[in-house]
Amino acid sequence: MNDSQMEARVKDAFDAIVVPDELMSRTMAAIDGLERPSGQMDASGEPIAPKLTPISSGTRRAKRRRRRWIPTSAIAACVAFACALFGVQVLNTTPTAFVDIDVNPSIELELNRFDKVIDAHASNDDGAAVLDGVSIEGLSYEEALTVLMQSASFAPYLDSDAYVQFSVVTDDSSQEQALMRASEECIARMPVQGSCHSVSSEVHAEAHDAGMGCGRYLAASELVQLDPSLSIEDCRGMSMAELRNRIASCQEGHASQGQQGGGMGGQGMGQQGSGSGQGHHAEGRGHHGS
Amino acid sequence: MREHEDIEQTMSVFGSTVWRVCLGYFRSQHDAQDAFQETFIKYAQADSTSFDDDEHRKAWLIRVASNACKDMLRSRKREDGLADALAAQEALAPTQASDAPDSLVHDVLDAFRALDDPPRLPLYLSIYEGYSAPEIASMLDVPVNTVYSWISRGKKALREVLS
Repeated sequence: MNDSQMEARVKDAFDAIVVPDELMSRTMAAIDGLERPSGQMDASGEPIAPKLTPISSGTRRAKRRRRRWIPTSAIAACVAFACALFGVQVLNTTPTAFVDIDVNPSIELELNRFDKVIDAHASNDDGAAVLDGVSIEGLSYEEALTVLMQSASFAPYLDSDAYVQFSVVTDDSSQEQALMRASEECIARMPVQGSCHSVSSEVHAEAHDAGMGCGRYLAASELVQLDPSLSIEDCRGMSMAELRNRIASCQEGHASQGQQGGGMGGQGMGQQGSGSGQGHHAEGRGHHGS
Repeated sequence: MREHEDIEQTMSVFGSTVWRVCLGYFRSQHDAQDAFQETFIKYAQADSTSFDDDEHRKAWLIRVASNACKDMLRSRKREDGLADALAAQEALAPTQASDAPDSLVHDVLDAFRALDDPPRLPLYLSIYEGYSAPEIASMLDVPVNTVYSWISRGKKALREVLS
């Protein structure tokens, strides 16, 4: 089942749910029977609803309710401890950055604010095969890259013809710099060409809607602009190296056809991250390079 | 207190939306009905809250309905403890034939209820209500990247369950 089939099924199911007239009538009757509210608000600014006789029977629970006397200070200490634990847990499990790595495998790492990998997803079958062979959750970003690049499932893609693109997505500029730096260092250690870009949330969303990593999506978008006979879907199965070779061929073709037209409009991939995502763009060292 | 006509009109337009949110949290019709009632009581009392348009009103109702459901679930856990919660799960009332769903609907609802929240509500808002990630982020007051992550994770989990 793909995403669109699943979404269609969800829509069909929820479309079939309609509020019963009887429930609306009963609710209106309950509201009409309310006394004027005191105007009290709860912490979130929502008015406090008065106690109604619940539609469901609450007697069982009411019978079980017992008053317990526990020292207030002990409760406060427990609450403070729980809040502290909860706060740490939230910080640890909330993603604040994403890094898409596109070669032919496309994988995405979700990172928390401490640059720890909290989840990893694949955008294609090759990516899934790579992730099946490694365990990187809980590792720092640098450690995760090392494990990935040295893994038996990923290493075969890192030959001299390969191109690796890192796409960093985050609203936090200091985290972006740290991740860009680590990514560039990783590229420098590999025998491949590669680059690292920061990408906006919008492009990230578009790429995922298209079922691709950001790097592949940006390259596919550029190629489709240069060669309108291709679609984004056609580019989905191409490796990053193939996409870049095709882009280069198209640009050469356009340049030779339109010499008198002045400079071509072909822009580097790094400049495509629209909106706030534009920024750093670092080409890595490699055998095709300078 | 808002005018009777205002409440009635809002319930007729957005009642099903609120009902879907409530059923997304509770398998028991009675609990879902309680949450539905609570939501519209809050709406009736929020006469100092003004809405820019119907979309704003709808977003407010969804948020209040979701909070009402979560409050009920929290309160249930506090009062009954895990053993009773499990017992309550066993004693769930079967879905009424008049308003319900065939097995397809049931499967989807059960799959939704099996998700944590988040990603349950953001996923529902994205897939069914058609809200964009930035809109959901604004509605739930969380970073937009977090919403993307919830949606992506929720879709994956839902797909696995429904497959």
